[in-house]
Amino acid sequence: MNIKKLVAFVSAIALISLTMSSHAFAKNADNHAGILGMKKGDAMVFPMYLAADGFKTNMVVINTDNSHAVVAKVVVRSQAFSTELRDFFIYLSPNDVWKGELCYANGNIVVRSEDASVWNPATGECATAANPFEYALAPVICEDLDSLMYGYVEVFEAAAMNWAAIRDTDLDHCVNIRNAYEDLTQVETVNCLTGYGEYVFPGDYAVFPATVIAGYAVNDKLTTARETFWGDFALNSITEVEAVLSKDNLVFPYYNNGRDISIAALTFPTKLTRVNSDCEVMQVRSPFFVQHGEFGSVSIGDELISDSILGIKYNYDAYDMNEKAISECQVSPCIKGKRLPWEVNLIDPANDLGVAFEEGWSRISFGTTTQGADLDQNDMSYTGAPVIGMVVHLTHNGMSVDQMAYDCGEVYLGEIDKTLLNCVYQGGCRVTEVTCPTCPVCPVCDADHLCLCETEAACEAAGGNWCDGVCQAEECNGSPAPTCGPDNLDLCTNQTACETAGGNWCDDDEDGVFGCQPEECNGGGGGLPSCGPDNLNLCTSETTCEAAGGYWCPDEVIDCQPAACGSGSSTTIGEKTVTCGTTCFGNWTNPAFVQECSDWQAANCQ
Amino acid sequence: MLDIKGSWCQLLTGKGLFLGGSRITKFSSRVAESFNGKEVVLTILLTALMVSCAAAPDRRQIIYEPEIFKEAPMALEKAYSDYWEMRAKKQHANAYSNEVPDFRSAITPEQYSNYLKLFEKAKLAQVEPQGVTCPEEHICFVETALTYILNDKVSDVRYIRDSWEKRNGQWFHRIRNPLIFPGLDKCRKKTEVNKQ
Repeated sequence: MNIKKLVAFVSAIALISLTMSSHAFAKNADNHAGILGMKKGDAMVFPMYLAADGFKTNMVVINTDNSHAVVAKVVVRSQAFSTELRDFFIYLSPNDVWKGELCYANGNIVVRSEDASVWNPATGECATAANPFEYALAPVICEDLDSLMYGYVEVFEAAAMNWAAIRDTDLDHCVNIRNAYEDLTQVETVNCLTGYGEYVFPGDYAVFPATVIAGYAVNDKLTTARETFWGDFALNSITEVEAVLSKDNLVFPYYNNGRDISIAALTFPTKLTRVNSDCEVMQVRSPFFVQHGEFGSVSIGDELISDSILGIKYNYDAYDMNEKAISECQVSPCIKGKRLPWEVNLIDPANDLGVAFEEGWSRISFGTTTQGADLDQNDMSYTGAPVIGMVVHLTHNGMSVDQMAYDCGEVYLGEIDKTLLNCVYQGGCRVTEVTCPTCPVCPVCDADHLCLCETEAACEAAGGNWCDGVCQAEECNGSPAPTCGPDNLDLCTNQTACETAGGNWCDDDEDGVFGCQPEECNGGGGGLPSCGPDNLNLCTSETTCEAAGGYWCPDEVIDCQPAACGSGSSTTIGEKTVTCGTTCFGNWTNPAFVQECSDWQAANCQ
Repeated sequence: MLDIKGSWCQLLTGKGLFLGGSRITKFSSRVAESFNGKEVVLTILLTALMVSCAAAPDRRQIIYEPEIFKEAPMALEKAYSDYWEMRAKKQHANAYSNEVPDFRSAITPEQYSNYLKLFEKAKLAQVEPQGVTCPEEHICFVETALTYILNDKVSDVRYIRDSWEKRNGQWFHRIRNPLIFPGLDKCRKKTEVNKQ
């Protein structure tokens, strides 16, 4: 790498770090801060290559580890449907760098490398300038809609091996590492790869970073004979990969005047569409697209090419330099109108978004929540879209490339309580690091997480109610949990509450434990009167009154009456209705009223 | 600009500059292949080229083997030649007028000029058409090798599939760079419609 490229590379990293530094977040329970942006990892995506009109794209992969040799599988995929166009391995000794390019040559778009870190099957040796690794990309399946001119590239770390243990000084490094990899029976990986790309045009170039994922952890031997998909042969499911890439929105600056232009590139590397030669979409691997994708049609001229293109809708806002805004709609959330149909989508703010401002910024938003599962089939979900955003500017000063800013999607464990898994996020967007069993804050069934109780016994042990297979704090009929009252005297826990509820605070067993009961204290209730046909005046609730054959008359002095409310002779004493059934004693604080009641009953009742 | 005619003349007249012997070997091989190994044709062509050197040795233009365009539609050869001469001479406005109308309706001359400037940090020294295919009557592709010089050295040879479209009897060039000019890279524009 010459000085100019090194400066450009370091500048790109610094710029990205500065751009992203405001997005620092606590990534675990100990509040260890992390900074989003370029990291080292074990998987990478070059979000867009370009090999057209004199442009070529260089890819650079760096092994930053000084003790491990690394084998990585490089997969080139097409723009529209992720068709695998070429795959091959690179072999990196400690601190080694591999550089390759995608360019147009000899009537084909080819992947080419003179770097000795790639093995050249044509010669059976490591590649050299004289005998470069050069292979034409395979044709796309849907020729009308797909393209070889641009696409994206994945890099999967296949293995990291102790260099001291495998080193054979008689062999070229790439042969040495290749032989060692072929002998491997169990693979391990190290988060030591990073990389960047270059859009190269005659005399100059523009640098862009690769998106690096840490902790992906390939755990089975990758080969070129077997296509590699996200979520296969690794300790992360495709949902976990989507979670690490998930973004609620993307923000990018734009120029849109007669002189300067900007193009936004949005790549969905997990979509992995399968399409047939009739350009009909047969399958997508992405849970995000399975759950949120919408079919649309694509025509060329007047000819309908396909009516089964699975795209994703998005919302956007665009602002000028004075905070004037246009928007697809003004009410949030608003997801309508625009659609991204391909794996690599290019958006021209002027033509595709209808932005009339000459300069400003725009925000593309996704209002989705995707359900999925981790490798252990634990439910998980995330908000936003698994997308990589990049923006290219062409101005009078030349061409530049920048990553978009974004808000990370939120990742949750479980479909019910959506408890945030603070402990397991790593990388740009809080991806699980695949070792959830060791996570110190994974919630379990307890009083605060009743929804995680999976059995009736566990539910009740946690103080919940088991209702139709769900553990909840509320009673199963949906009413609030019962409390101390006339109908639940047994829930009264002190004398005041008991007596307020009409109960008696007793220790009939004389065991020192008091309880609230409807019966009078002493004698355990035997022989003492209680609510019944003969003692309606002792009934304290509508239920017990009616059960005893009485009438519940809450407006009268005695609530439970032997006759219908308001029937028979009655009078009013001290604002209370008195009938023949009224018990006069105890219903007034004024003794005169008690006497008046007794006198009235003596005069009017048999 | 170091034009190909000049360089061939220099090569053929013993003034060897630029790409040297390997260049002519490569060219000879390619021409021989295109004519099914009929070496006699190569001899004729080289002789004709030597003659043409004397006719216009100093004229700055893109020169190529006319046989390349033998099967191509009429007027494509001239359109191609004119266009690349404009590009080599950095005549942006003239080159712009030779781009397809739908491109010009979407891209301003200033934007186009910014784009062409990307290629001009290095000097376009040679344009070599290597083959023509025309999948449709009004669409042709010219496989082209572009040689650039930077700091007096060959910095790069870029191969492109140069696209041409015929509109109302006139051939127009089409820039095909989906990253810079998305939606304008196809000969026929894709239209996406949400499914009802």
